[in-house]
Amino acid sequence: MLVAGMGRNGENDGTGPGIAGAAGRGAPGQTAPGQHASHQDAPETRASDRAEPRVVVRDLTKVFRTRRGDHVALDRVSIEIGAGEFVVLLGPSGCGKTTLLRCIAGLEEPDSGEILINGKLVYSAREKVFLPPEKRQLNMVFQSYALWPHLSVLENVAYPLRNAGQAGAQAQAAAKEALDLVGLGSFIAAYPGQLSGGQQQRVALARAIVSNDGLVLFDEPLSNLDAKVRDRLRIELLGLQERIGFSAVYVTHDQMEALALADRIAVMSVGRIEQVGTPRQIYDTPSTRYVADFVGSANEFAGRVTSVMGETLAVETPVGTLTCQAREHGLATGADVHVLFRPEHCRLDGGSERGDDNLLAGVVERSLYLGPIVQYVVRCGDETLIVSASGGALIDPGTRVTVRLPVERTRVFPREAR
Amino acid sequence: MTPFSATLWLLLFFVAFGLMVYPLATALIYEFDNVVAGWTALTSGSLSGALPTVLLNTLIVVTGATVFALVIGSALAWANERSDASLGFAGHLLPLAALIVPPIAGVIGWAVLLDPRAGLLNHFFQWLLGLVGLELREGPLDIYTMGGLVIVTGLYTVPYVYLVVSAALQRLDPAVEEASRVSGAGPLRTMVRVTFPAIKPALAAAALLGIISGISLFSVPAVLGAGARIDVISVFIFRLLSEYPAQTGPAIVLAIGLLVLVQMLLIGQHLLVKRGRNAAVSGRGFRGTRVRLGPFRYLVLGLAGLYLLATAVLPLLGLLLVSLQPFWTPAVDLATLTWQNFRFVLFENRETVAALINSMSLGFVVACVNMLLCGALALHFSRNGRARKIADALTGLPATIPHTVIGVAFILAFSREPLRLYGTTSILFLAYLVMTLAYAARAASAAADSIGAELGEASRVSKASDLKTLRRILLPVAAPGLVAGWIMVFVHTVGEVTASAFLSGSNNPVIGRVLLDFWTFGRFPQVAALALVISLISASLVGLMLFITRRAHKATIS
Repeated sequence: MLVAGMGRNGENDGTGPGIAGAAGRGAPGQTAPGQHASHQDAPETRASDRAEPRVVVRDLTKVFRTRRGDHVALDRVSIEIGAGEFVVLLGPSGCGKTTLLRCIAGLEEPDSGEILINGKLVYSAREKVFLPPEKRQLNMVFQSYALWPHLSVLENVAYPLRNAGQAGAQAQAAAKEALDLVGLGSFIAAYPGQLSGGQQQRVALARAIVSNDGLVLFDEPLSNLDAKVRDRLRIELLGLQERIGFSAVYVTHDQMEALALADRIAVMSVGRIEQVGTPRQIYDTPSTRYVADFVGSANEFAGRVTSVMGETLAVETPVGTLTCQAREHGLATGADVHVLFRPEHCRLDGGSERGDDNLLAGVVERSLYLGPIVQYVVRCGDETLIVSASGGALIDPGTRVTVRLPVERTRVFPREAR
Repeated sequence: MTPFSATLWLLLFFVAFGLMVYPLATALIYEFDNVVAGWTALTSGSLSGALPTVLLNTLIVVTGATVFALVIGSALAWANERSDASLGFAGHLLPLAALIVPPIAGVIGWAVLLDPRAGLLNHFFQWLLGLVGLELREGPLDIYTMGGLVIVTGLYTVPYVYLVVSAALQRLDPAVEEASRVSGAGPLRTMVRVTFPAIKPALAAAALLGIISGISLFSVPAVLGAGARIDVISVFIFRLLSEYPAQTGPAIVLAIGLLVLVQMLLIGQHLLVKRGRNAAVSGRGFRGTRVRLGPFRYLVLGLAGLYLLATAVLPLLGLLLVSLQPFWTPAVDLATLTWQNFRFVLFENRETVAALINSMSLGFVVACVNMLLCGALALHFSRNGRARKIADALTGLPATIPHTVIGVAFILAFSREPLRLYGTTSILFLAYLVMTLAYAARAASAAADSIGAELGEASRVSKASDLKTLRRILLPVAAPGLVAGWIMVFVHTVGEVTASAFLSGSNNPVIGRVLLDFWTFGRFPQVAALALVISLISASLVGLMLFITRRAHKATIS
């Protein structure tokens, strides 16, 4: 794994699962079966050869003081972003992801902690350093595009270069080149008001890459666009990043966007980073119930540990006793837990290739055809669970089925954790 | 705090303390005994009989004029911004008509039109009625009444409402209205249920602006009120001070009463209108479809035409006819028309020539200084809530001080050491500066509010400093609003009458003072000529500025 996520400080470990453990899970010592550990290596070590992190955030805290009391937007957050790395900050609204981005940009002044960009200290509470945005060597793409209506497209894009002291003609040539890159080379004389949303965001993108500072911050840049344009721009964005090699910090609440774009995802909840990892780690081996719940969909059942057998646990749940993968939580017999597993990790068949898989008897209540996949609502006892299969056949309601759930696909979290 | 912020604060505190606190405090300290005596005189003494009538009159005039202006101003703004009844350039000029024609000129124009005996329009009506056999020696209309006072005051309050409302409409994303239309609401319902509620803060601000301007408007009641024998508070205070012996005590008591009242209204507005609930413009340019009015289009156009007629065309025509006569008579004899009055005010009379030069240069300098200061303040502190609040409070303060009080306070404070400025142009400059500060600040903060935060932030991350962001991004985007403010300040300064009456004399004559003197002395044709001249100068300047902003606007939005 590229640059390891910075762990939260040791003294905080008691309050909740820290990201130190989460980052460690990508390491070879992981207990996940080789089958999916091997998948996650090749494409996700793109930037591993570059040593110095582009951005370092340490113990950043930001409290908004409002009339209704203090709101902790960031609670001792730490993260590093490597050179050329694409990091997505993912979380629901109000989780502090935008605040973190704005603190990195210098648009918001944190209360404590420190931020380094390219090894240079740009914010430190202890040393009383706070560099304004223009001194931080970065660029940003805004949700509202933030194009200046009184400047032409070319002037908009040339603006950062002019501020950096480049001569007019030189800046315009570079701006033209950047606009060509985003496919707007023929719109240089237009004004922002004359362009469509997608075109406006392309201009904003050109403006962010034109000065080639190596760091671009994205604040939900695609959320104002319609889906088709969003999908196209997403791919173009990755192409641009590969070509130019900037580091990206990208804020979104859209998990598909996060999975598609990120080298690493930092999942945030109310001011804290819950887990940092590759999209695959976040999806397959979420370290907390919050992450498992927020990213992707999950079947979730409350249960109680009835026995501990080395690497596995037996958990009694409303759908039956499940054999689950033991994790580092150190659960003992009698512990209250939640068991989570993803619909697509279950299979509907009675075959028995592996003896230790969980087998749950149920009745199909409904099957939903969703194009690429078919989703089955299966009743097991008093509960229902969702099973999805790609290219599956529709099954008549009332059909008895057996749900096969591999032990290593289960995640168990202590109940009081959240 | 950056050096730039520090400079702004320094300037603001200089204006606030040097031009507001110092003169007021000086007036209060030197007149303290009179203030105490004044309170007694007002509550139980010689003035207690007249006071309730004065207060009631003021209430009627201010409320009536504000309601009148709100209705006409918002309707015109809506028609121009949202309907297909837009008149293009003329449509944007139209609601400014009352700014182009300074109220003092306009009200004199209406006086010469609707004077019950010598009014030109009344003469025309008498002729019309004569055709159907009705012979009238007076009337049928009389401008020297409460109705006349309300309507003329209202006419000249419309522009405040219009500018604030149309700025808010330009800022409001038409999508919210389109959403209402597709939700099954007709254009009228959309206007009433969506558009106006969405710009409620702007409407409240417009109403407040109307009330404040109504309270301190002096020219209309000074010209009409005397004939109508209707005293409103501004004229009442003026008379307390200009009569011999001057009754400074009661005047100061009344002024402070007004001060408190307006402060309370401001606080009420702050409590009622919560920031952030009105739609701010984002960084996206948007294009809206206009409401098709069908046959109602002509009704709206008619209303607009009527307003234009009432504020500009008719009074100017009246002024023209009177100014071309050797003496004011309703029966215009073409053979006697002469340019002599214009020659007199423009070239021959030293007082009017000096007044013209003084007023114009003061208007220009005051408008530039105020808009630079307020524009920089509003834009620089637009995202700093607390700084913004303090700046708003300080710049808004002068609007809560009636011009009369500024006049008196300035006389008392600046005619003694260490600042002996009475009788100079400087005292007028300082007085105008403080009096127009609130207009400038309001225009500037409206312009600043119209800019989404991200426009400035995008500039900061594009490596532009604070100052450069202000100069290259925020100022140009806010320019149309700032220019509108400049126009307001200029026209106010040129047409200012109240403080001018106190502070201007033969050494430093200004137009307001000279017009009032000539009106009082009955030199009607000369008054008309002078009023016409300043109207023309204002009009051409306003037209030019407007043309420049509209073109800049078109280049960005088109």
